[in-house]
Amino acid sequence: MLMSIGISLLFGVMKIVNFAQGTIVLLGAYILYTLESQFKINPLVFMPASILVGTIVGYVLYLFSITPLIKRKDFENQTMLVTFAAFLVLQNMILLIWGPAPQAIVSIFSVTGLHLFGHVFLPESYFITFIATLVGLLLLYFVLFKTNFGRAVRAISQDVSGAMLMGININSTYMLSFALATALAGAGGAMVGLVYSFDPNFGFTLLLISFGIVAVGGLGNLKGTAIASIIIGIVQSFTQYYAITYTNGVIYATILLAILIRGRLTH
Amino acid sequence: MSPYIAIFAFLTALPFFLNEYEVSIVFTIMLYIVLASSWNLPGGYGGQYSFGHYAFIGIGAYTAAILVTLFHVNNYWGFYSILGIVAGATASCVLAALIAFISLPLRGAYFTIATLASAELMRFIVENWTSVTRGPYGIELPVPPKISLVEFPTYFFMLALLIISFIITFVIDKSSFGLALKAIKQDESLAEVCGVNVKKYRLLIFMIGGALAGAAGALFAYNTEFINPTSAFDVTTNIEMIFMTILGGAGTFYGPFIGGVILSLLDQLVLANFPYIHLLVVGIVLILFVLLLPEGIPTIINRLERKEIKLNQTNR
Repeated sequence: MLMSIGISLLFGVMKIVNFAQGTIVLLGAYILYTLESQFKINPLVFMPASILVGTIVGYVLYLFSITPLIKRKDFENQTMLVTFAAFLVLQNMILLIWGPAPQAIVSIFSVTGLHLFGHVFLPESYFITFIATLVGLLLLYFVLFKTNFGRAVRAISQDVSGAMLMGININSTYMLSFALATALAGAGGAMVGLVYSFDPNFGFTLLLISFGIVAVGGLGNLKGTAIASIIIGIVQSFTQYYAITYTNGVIYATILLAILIRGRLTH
Repeated sequence: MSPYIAIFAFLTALPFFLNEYEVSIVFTIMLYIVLASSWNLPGGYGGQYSFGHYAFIGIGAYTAAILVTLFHVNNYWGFYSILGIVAGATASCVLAALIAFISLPLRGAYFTIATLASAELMRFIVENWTSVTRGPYGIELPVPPKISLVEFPTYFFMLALLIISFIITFVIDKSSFGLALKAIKQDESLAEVCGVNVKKYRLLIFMIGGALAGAAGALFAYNTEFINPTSAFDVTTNIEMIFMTILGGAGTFYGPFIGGVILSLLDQLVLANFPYIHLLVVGIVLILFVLLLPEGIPTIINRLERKEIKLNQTNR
């Protein structure tokens, strides 16, 4: 949910689709993995590190690839291409550093947990993910609706030139929202690391899932994204329970169905 | 026209002088040029940034591979291998119509996501329909007996396809069809008001592009002699197609040729020298291309021309 909200936020504010988002999520997971296996203490301590790395990568990506493109006519398509190239670079850097083997963070949280109804086991990592997502969402809500920065973001997403006339610094707001989105990706990555096992190719799957969520909820619509991530989550869990090989297929089909309905509604 | 004929004649003569490795490199370059032109038709002329074009490559490759295996083809000069190419093109054309049904009403990022998701869905189907496609194990094509020059019938098929794609692009570029597409790309509503049948033209160009990619996919399968879902449905290929087209100049008939030659040579060079960080280097180069040459090679030519004009003016 956190990672797709990042994508949705970016599109709402800047009309950017960030293809590197999935891999930044993955990077967050790998950072957590490395630190955890180095120091062998509670992985939650290192969550800020994942967020920090996500922010830094986002900042660098923004400086080098988005800033020079902003003034161009074909902005939307060109940023898609650049972020996709960045996706290739990041994915292969991960491959180079951590190797192709799948990794998983085995911590105390995945062992301890609650036993519900006798045979349902809920690991503590799921609770942590749930609480962290909730905290993240509340923070995001606070930033977007209670601060001046958030007001600027919302103003830009409504009308860029109008916002500029009111004295909002477009460039710095763009940069901050890009960094915020990738920070959310880093946080999401820490969660992914706690719950799933991951390999360098997982970033693309994550990206597609986030795209699905965003497509169901509506690009740039944060509330819709929050609701859609719950829907997609339920669809995913149900297909995993009944027919695990078809999970990805069902998700792609859901994306297409959502887009089909949305396309027919809006045109 | 004559320089093009000279180039094609040169390409026809080439396999008689080169060794197998060099011929395979030339084959790959031609493959990428055809793929880039197949993307150039809907993407460059029509302005539809399809990220799911690799579905057509994959479906074309699988259709041809299944057909060839079914008929136990061991002579690739024969009727069935050509039938495989045609079948691959047809299957991709039908698929393009299906994908177009979902994605063509959409614009911008939604279109991109829809095409990407449909391509992944195709790959998913191929991966799981094990009774026909053998799933992740892939299909091994019957290997033809190697006889001197006839080792490379796929090379000549590829060359023929290259010429066909060149002619298609050239004809579309010069016809009223191409004019309509350019109008749609610049301003869709205006084109529609002026009486251009936007839906029909967008669907048609999408299907033509799909068919070309499907035929190229079939030849890809013949050449590698083994395909699996990961190699046939590779999103990186799609991205390289887009970059080649943009580098050479999107929406021009020569664009995919220039961009295809430059980028695939570079690709082969990097692959030969740094096999481990191949895609890393390619990614960085692609970022640099978008930043420095947003409109591709034509930007340089335009800049040079402008400088010349300025020089002429100052001389007067």
